[in-house]
Amino acid sequence: MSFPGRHVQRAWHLIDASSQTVGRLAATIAPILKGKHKPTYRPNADCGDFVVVINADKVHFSGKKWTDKLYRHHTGYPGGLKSRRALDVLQRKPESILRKAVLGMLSRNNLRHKYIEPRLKIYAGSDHPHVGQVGDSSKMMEPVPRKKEANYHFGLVNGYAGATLPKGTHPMNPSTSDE
Amino acid sequence: MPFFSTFAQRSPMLFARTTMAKVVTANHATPLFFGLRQQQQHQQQQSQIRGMASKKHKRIIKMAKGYRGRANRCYRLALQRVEKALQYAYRDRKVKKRNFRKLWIQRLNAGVRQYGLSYSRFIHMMQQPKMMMEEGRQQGGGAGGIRLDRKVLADLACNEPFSFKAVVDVVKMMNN
Repeated sequence: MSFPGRHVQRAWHLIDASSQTVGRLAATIAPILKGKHKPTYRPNADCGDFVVVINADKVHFSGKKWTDKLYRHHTGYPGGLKSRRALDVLQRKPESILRKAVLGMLSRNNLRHKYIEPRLKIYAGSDHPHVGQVGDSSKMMEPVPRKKEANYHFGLVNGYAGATLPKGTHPMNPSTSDE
Repeated sequence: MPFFSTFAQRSPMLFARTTMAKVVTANHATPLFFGLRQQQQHQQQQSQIRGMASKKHKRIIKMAKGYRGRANRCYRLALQRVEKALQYAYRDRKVKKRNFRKLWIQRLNAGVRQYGLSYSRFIHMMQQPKMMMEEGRQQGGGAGGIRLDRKVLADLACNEPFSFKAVVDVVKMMNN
């Protein structure tokens, strides 16, 4: 087989996270970051896309998770198990709720920290500094439905024109410069 | 001699040994030395026949090129690492086939979802037996006789997007 995807095209996707369930949204973001929505997917190379998430402080947890879900971490010292409720995390660092969810769904390999993680951009408000790449915010990904039907292409449903390619590239003519 | 040549074909190591023995001992041009002891030493060096043990060692060490530490130089360490490497190679020749099929399936899944299907539905539709409309006899491949395997379909999805779309359209059409 030849080696497809040598010139990787990276698209930018914009997602509005308000009132979307955390886990379900993360489960659609993670494959896009990894590149599994492309038929030229290669597990050993970094072929994913950029994802910009806005309104990350308005995500939704079902049930009583805002008060009952605990985010724990250990400082390394004896007796250093710290735990915070999801509500407290929302007040301190609202982006980290979605960030932890997405990063937990990515594979733990060498590509992750240097390449895949930096491509996830999460912002708490509705402003983001990537207007030049993403375009106007009217082209956004559809909210994740409750039930995934068979025609659900990783969140990029039919008619979704929100993915923008870098300037100067056309899907049929990949750029000649190396990425 | 015919017997000798066939014997050599079966065991090239023995053949090499005999020729090497000839070369080492048949050296008539001994250089002039000052003393008898040096002469004897020189003759001893020239008549050294490499035994089977050091040949075996050299073979293993050659296979251990690029290994870390003393494993690329010392036989006893190299042997352990090389044995492990050969075990992994045996196992992974079988695992390679599994890995590639996994990759083809992932690529097919991504390619097929662009057109509103999922991989499981697509394979099911491809394998359902359908009557050919013109002649009325059943084709073995299902879905109008498509017998493309996952490797070829994944290759089409990657490199020939329009042909892949055509295949997906045929499969969808045959199942409506």
